[in-house]
Amino acid sequence: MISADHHVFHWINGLAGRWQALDAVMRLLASDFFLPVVLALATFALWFAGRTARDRYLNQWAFLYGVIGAGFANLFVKVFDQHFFRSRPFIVLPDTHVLLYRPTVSSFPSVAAAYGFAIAAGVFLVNKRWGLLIGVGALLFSFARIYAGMHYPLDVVAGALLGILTTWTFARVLNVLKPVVDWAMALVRWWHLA
Amino acid sequence: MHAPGINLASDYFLLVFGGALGLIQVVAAWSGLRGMLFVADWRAGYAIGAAMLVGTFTWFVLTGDPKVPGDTGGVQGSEQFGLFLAGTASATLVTVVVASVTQVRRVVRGEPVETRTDSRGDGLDRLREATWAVAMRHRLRKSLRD
Repeated sequence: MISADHHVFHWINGLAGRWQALDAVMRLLASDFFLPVVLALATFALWFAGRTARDRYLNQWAFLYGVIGAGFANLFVKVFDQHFFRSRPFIVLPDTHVLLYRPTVSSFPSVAAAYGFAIAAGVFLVNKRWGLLIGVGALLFSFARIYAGMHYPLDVVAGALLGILTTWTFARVLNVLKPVVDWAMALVRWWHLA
Repeated sequence: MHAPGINLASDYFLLVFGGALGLIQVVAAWSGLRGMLFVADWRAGYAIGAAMLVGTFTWFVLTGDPKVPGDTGGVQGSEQFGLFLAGTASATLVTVVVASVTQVRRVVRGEPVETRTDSRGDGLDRLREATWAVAMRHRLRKSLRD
């Protein structure tokens, strides 16, 4: 399995360094500041989106699922990192093309994939089309991190699964707490901000 | 001159703030929340919002180092979360305040801005016609009366 992981990594990361323009695009997509902000803003937009009050209410739930899922997925990756460490590809494989910085935390699971797919899963539970779009963004982000030499494909798959499962679980918790959440949303609605 | 970390943090905040400001205009135009638009016309809302969104991201990407972090590192995850929260919250606040100010003229000109206190719309739905300032004024008056 590790051998297959290395093989796929070499195939994707081997594309780096051939075309400057593609490298520049991937560097941007893999950065900590571009796609994460795009995905977060796409989720934030749901708070206001909806042509009817009912649609907006459902979109606000999609926003909450995404945010709660992403928050806990990040937390779980951090906890996981305390107990398990996998070296980054550029440490293990000397011919890795590194396009960005060299992170020092564990490579497995990918926090980038966990974050992106947690948001996408949360939004997908309520708004399928928007959730799929965010999912495409998460997929691009994850692919770019492999291309940039920061993660193995298995890190990304594990991160994505962790993100989706975390959101799925906490969405159920939120559903149980629906009366409390609705009460909090009513408070914000009093200020005409929800 | 700022240290790289501080500079990146302030740039990150501006990216989120500018992006959210533009995005709210686009979404408000799409959702029919005219009271949140800087200019009370949905076409202008789309145009202003798209220009702000594209402009902010273009500025962030093109002004270069250290926007895409190199070996110098960047803004930590928890700091990013705090800056994102601050950026989106202030963009929301600025939107409702600026829209309330720029649309005061509509009230003066007698255009159909919501002025009834018994409007059926609640929450953001109230901002389909009323600006946030008008909606809040009615809300507070009603609360004081009750």
